[in-house]
Amino acid sequence: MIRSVVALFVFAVVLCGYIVLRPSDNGRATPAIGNDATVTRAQTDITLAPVTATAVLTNSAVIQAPQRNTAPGINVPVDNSTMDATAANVLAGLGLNVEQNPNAVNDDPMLRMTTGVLSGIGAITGNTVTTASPDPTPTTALEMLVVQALKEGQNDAYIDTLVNEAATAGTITVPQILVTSDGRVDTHVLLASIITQATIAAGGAAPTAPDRPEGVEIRIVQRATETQQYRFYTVQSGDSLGAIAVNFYGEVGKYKLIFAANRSTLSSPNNIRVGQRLTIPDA
Amino acid sequence: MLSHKISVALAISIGLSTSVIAQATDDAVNVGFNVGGVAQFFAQSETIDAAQVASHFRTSPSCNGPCLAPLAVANNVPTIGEREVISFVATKVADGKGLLIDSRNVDDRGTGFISTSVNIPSALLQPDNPFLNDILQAMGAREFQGTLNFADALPLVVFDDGPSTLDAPNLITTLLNLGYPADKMSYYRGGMLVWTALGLNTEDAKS
Repeated sequence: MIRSVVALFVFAVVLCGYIVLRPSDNGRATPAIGNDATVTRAQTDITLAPVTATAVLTNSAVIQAPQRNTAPGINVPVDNSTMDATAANVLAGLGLNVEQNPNAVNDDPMLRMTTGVLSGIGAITGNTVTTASPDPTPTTALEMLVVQALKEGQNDAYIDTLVNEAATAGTITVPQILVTSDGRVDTHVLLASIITQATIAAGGAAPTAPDRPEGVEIRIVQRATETQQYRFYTVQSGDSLGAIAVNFYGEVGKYKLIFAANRSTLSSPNNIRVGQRLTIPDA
Repeated sequence: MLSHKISVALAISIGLSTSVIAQATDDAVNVGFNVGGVAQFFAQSETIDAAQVASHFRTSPSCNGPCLAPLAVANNVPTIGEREVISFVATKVADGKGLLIDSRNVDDRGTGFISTSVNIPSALLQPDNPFLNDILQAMGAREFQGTLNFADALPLVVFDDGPSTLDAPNLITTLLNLGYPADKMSYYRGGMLVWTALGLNTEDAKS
């Protein structure tokens, strides 16, 4: 009798012990699998080798299978004009003279170096030469088209249709960063840049980077000594590089940061594709 | 007959010696001149700074590893030495009638340069520089109905870090392609490497 009671008691203790310990066994098993997975990844991806733990915070909105848009779409003719100059010229056409942002000019290494060369030559030859910095005036067909439409008081949708029809017909060329992933002209960014410049010219505040850009994918990589955060963005249909720059930095001119960080996969600013994953460097 | 030959040879040598500029002697160089109202000079020291010389042995970004510049860059572009550089500066650059061009990038120029030289990295003369025409016009080209006329373009002497780099040959080739006349350019192949190895003075402040 005592034996059977003891046996039952022992059985109950073992059972309780099993029930109590089981979750913690599971808890232990999971990191083991995780470690295995990390090792496998480390073997396949050299860049992740020194990573001890990764956590991927993904905005659910961007989870979608990358799709490659192989259809070339419309071939929008592009030129080398900058958005700042285009916007300034359009405003000049509307009778608003905007001083070019002096910082933007100094940011252009070509202009800075050229100015240095010209002053160097001028010191030798005695002729003062300065870079031709013409007053803003609408010169390109795109600028004149937009000026005309804005003077007529047309709405954004009308201007979008007008500009895209002209681009399709090949009668205008547009700045590269206005070409969208589906081969259209991003007139939204163009019009927004014009408004931004007008606001700044009127003494308004310069745009700031949004706190929470749309569609951002953040990857935090913890190394032994530091934690680094990488931001990615997957190109959606209708995105232009200018629009992505506005989304992340608040200003269109900073597209250069994105372009520079993605040179290996992005041959030129007008060649972004739907589904393309772009690295977004910090401003 | 023999004495006649000797007298002819004497006459030729006397004629030559008068046409050669004053510095073309065996003496060390010491020339002073004014450029744009600033007193400049070239002087040869009796000692050389080995570390400075060594700093000019570098590889050009345009070649993988060390490379050797050709003796002649292009047809009709003469390759010249130090005396020709000095006389070019003293006679042309001092009068604002010529340019001594340092074709290295800005960082390399920071290690020292020949006085009176103007830094024009070849990256600036590429078609993607919207101010390319401004530079060419500062060098004496004239724009007429959208095309550049180089008839009044200034004579140039182009140098770089020396025979182990290709910056100057590249710049000369670029200029030739832009239409700059070959007979208005010379190539100083020795560059900074030979210039400093000969104890000639350099500047290292930003000009």
